[in-house]
Amino acid sequence: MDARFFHRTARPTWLPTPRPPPRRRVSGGGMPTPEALAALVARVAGARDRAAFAALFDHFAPRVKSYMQRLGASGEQAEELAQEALLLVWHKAAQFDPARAGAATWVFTIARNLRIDALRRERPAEALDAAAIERVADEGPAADTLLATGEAERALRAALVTLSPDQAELLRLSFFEDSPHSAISAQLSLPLGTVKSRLRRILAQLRAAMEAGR
Amino acid sequence: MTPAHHPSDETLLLHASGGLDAAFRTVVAAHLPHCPLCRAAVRAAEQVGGRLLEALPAAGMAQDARDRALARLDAPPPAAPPAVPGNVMGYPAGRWRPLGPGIAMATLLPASSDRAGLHLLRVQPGARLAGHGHEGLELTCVLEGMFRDEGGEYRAGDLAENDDGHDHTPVAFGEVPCLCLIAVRGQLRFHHWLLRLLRPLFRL
Repeated sequence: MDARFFHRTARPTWLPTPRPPPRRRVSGGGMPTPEALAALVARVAGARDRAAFAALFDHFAPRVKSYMQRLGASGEQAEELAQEALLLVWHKAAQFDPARAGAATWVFTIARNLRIDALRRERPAEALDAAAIERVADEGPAADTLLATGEAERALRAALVTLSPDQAELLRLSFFEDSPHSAISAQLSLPLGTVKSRLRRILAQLRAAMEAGR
Repeated sequence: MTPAHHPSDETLLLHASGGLDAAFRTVVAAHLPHCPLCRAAVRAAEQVGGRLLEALPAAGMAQDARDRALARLDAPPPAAPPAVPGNVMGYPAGRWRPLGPGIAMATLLPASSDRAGLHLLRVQPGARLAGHGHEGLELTCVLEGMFRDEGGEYRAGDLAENDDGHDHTPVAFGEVPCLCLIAVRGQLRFHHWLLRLLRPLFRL
């Protein structure tokens, strides 16, 4: 894995200090392929295979925990949210369609929706309507997939590695910091317009790579 | 027919990453069923999110984390949230308030200091929502009918995105009342003196 993904300059003081990333062989040994992950989900869905679930847990739970911590959850909260996310993987495995999304994409959307839900739970009790209205948005028609083949996923991995450290940092901040682009602009000392146009270009580049890989 | 007006790339990225306020998320979600282009953009961003998730360092977990997870598999699944109507149209009955001639509004999510408000607006053809500016981001999705303003003509499924300082004067036109879903952070500033007086009453 590219260690440059994890490099930070300024850190908000309320984030826990991360451990240094584990050293990995550049050849990527140990990281399951998209096909392998999809197969594990299929075994959970079809056969309620606990060994397959355990493998998915080992791969995703620590990363979902990491994701939640970056968004401000305490270690304890983040670990509980990771447990809840993998429990949802177990219960929703039959809904996973490998033709529509890679397993990592699917787990990311589960984690993202869980984080939104956790924030909603934390707010003082509101009218039932408010939560229900939000849920309409969150459970509405899922995004289409035009790009979800194994080749597209591999093309995406390859394209991500070619990003410069600055580009990678910007992309990570936009996904893993709970801050609007204006805050990113302040953190990186870049004009807001520059943040927006750079993100737009990076995403266009990544999409082009995925399309080419289709 | 694909909509002519769409959320910006930044808004779509925030939608995919989960960084949008509930109110903005709801308006984008109203546009997406009409728009394969934006759905594809959201999915591409979600795929990037998935890849970035996998590239995160593995956080240390409790020794027995996996065992605890396995033990929970047999428990009954988490309770499903209460069933919700298929769209926001099910909500505002009884909460419509007149805003002026030919204009009525219903608030679905009240704005506060840290969150955007979500409102339904119903405007009769020919009625103009008196020119208003606003602070910060405003997203409008047309649910029914049509309106036109300085940005062009907007029909069902179109999403108008307006940023800080953008004054505009939408006018409804066509055969049926124009029904819009609007999310706005900050205050709507109305140019019409009467609406400015009334604004605190409606907590806009």
